[in-house]
Amino acid sequence: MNLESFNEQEDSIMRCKKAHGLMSAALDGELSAREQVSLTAHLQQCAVCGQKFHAFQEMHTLLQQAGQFPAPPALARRVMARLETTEAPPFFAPLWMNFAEAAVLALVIGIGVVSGNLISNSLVGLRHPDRGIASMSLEIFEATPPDSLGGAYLAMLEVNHEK
Amino acid sequence: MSLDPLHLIAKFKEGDTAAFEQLVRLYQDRVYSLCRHLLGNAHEAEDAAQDSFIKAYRNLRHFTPDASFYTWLYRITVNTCLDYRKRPFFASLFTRSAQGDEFLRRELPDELSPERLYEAKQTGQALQRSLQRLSPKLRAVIVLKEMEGLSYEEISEVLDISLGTVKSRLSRGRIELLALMKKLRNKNEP
Repeated sequence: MNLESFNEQEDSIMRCKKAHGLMSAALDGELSAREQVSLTAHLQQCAVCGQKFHAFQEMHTLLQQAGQFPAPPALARRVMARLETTEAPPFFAPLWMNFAEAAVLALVIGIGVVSGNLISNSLVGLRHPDRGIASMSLEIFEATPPDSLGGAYLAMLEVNHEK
Repeated sequence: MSLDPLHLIAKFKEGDTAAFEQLVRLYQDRVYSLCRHLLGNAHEAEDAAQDSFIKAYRNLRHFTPDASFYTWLYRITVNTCLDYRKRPFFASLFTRSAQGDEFLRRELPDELSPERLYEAKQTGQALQRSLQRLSPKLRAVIVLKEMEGLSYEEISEVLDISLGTVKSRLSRGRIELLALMKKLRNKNEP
């Protein structure tokens, strides 16, 4: 291969590469006038690129003929039914949700306060052993507290013994 | 009720749920068709279309009228379909089907010979199967351009990619799709 034919082949390859780069945009009608002229000239000279562009055009036509699929008739109804079961109205939802969350929180706090108060009152004897239960702390531990079953049993024994 | 999408969106923002139903009816064919082309089968396409509308419902109050509603809705739909493709293989195994004979939706002329009719169906099937073998990113660009007829700018907006990326993905997608079709045809030839 002499230098001249080598250069010609190189030049042709470059033009083929350039042509391949322009084919996609050509299908979309997005080439400039100059690029379009350049591509058309190359396609007339190069059979391989001409065939390739023809194949692209065929595929482009097929894809465009694929067209639209109509939606199933019940699609809108199904979407609305799903929304009805899963969603609250979008613009009232956050407000409504806030109220619900606040109400639940207030209820939990309320229950906590009331039950805490009740427990605290019932354990008053713990803080004041002389006024109530005297068997909740190790400091005032009694093996048989007076109000326990064992305590009651011992009290009964004591009564019997006194008799 | 007016079928102007912006009017319907304004009504919806005022709390009119019926306006949203009108929006669904207005766009259901386009959304379903996009899902069908991206996912390749009717069952998944209907699920994805429903999910897309539900996502739209949840986010519509964030939509601003300076953007195009259908590109906004298309973006939700494409992302929903891409998520469907990320599902485990077995999750979608039973919903996959070829349905290539339905791919070419145009009316085939009555006078077409049985051989030509068969050939047209085979071509449709090959194209559909090749399309499903493309990577999701390339498939999305091809479907939006070739089947949905969106401009480069609209595709760029829907997929949130640059114009240069749209052009390069489109070019690469076409080259790969043609190669896949060729491969399938050669395989089917005796």
